[in-house]
Amino acid sequence: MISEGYDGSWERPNKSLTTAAILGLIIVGIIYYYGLNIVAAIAVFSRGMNYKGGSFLEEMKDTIMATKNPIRLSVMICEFVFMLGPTIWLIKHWHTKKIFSYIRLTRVPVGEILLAVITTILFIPVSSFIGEFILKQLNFPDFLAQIDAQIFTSYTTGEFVWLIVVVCVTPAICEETLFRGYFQRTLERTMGMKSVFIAGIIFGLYHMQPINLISLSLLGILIGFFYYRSKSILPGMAAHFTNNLLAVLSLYKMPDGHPVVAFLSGETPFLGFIASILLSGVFVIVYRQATKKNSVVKELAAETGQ
Amino acid sequence: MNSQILPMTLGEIFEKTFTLIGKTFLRNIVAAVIFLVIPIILLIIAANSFYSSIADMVLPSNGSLIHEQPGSPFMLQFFGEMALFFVAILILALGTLLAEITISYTVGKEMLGEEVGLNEAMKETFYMKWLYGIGQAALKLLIIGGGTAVVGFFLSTFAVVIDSGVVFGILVALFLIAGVPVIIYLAYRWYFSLTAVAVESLSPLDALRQSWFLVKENWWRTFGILLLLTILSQFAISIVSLPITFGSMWSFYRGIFTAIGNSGGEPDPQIIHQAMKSLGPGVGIAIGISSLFSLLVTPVFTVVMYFDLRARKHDLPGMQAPPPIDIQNTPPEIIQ
Repeated sequence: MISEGYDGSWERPNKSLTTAAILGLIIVGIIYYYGLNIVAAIAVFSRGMNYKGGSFLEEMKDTIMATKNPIRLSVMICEFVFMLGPTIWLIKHWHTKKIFSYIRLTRVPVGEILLAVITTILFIPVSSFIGEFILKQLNFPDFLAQIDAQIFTSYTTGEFVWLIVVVCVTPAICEETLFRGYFQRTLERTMGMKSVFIAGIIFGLYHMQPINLISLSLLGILIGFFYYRSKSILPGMAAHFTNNLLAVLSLYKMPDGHPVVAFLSGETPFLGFIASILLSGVFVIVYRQATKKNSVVKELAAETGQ
Repeated sequence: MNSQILPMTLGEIFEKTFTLIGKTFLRNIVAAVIFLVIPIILLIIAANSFYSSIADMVLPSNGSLIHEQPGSPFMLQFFGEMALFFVAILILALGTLLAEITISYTVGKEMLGEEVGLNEAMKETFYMKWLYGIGQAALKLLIIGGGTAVVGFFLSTFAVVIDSGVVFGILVALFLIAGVPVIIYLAYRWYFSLTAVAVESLSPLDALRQSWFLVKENWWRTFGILLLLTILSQFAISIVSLPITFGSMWSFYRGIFTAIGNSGGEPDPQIIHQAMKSLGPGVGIAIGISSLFSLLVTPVFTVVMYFDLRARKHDLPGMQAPPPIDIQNTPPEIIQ
């Protein structure tokens, strides 16, 4: 699997690809988190905050409302500059100059992308239920959750579109390139299917949100599975985009505060959780079958270098 | 085997570190757990008592803020629990030192191409190395800490004699500006003394001498690489340990959120008090877990760096320093 004709500095017989994958991920992680903290701090402080006074919660809400746009902009800029940029640099210098080919930015049948999107939609109640369950166990107050969600909440069409760019498009490109295109891809060359689980769990850990760790890791494994089976980054990107789009859509509100898409904003019932596990499980099997032939052909092509 | 160890590039140091982490992972984690499990339990108990005392001091259980100075019996108990907490941290530091010797010995042998079992590594640790390890740590503490204390004492005396707060402030600032770089310099010059004890069974003084000798002329390189490796490893450790820390502080977070939720934004002191009381075990677990994870990475890259420096100084058995160039009999183009 290693002999894929790459000529980067890490593509030598005595060099471990696992080391490259882990080291690369840590380096990009440090650059991204330090960069994000600095840029966000600059953006927030240059914007300034006007405290109107009031209770602790009102001040907290005011602060989030005043700083949400600088934070959104910082996240978007940093994902491209400090996450995508270093990832591409690493691939180019450590592995190959054929970056698109390495991350597998290759065409796949539309059906495969659609299947990935449907599976993700069916899977969303699972991750929502787990997240809600943990928040309930923590007695996390609803009003605190609402304040916390302000950063992803939109009240106008313009804000909704802006959030789609920041929360859906940007991570689908940048995070997928890092986690699937680089990390999983490099691990896959020596570990095969195991890379799907490792990259998925690391994807969950990397978000540094302990409450959402399980949901994010499961989502990471699902997206990794699409990447592994399709041998293309596009179905994973589409799945990631869809997952985040539904989250943004559930927080899209009318000026009076009522949700635009009401059924997405409610709590996930236990039956919905069970049904979601079964249905998404069925679709995972369907996806596996749909990509069986495709996967074998591409693996052969990759091995023969055609 | 020794002749194969050559000076390494940064990439090779990373490569070797990762390979050795993988190769010795199981032995190292077992060693770390053996040495740290009791100290961590002690720390959890001590932290629980200490944080309960802090909670009682800040917010008494009747729910109102404290207005009066706490009585002597309470303060006596508080300082007793604080002392217990520091003793528990000291025991954890001792456990960490022993585990570091065992792990460094195992990794050092791997560097030389020999595989040793955990039993042998622990026997080695408990033969003399544990004593040497404590000795070198005490020596470092005595020189660096003692030096700082002596300078501090003279500064304080001088300030009392001249009776000027401004001059004292200036002297303290100058001491910090000049003293901190000296402390950093010395800390990195003696960075490998524990590794020298573990790998070469050197006595405390010889271990300090060996580290001093190895880092000589390589100080900036050593400082830079160790700093880089520390940043990388700490980032990786923080990612993995964050959910564990969160889990261990579950009761604390639950208490805080319950208090905020029940009060509609104005926290109830009673529940905050309870939450603070439950913080102790979480702190103990967090410190313990992060020490455990650090042990799986830090001694490994320290040993790799140690062998790299030895190779640079031609200090490995079977290695000889390159012969001096015979200028008279060497063609001028080679000398250039």
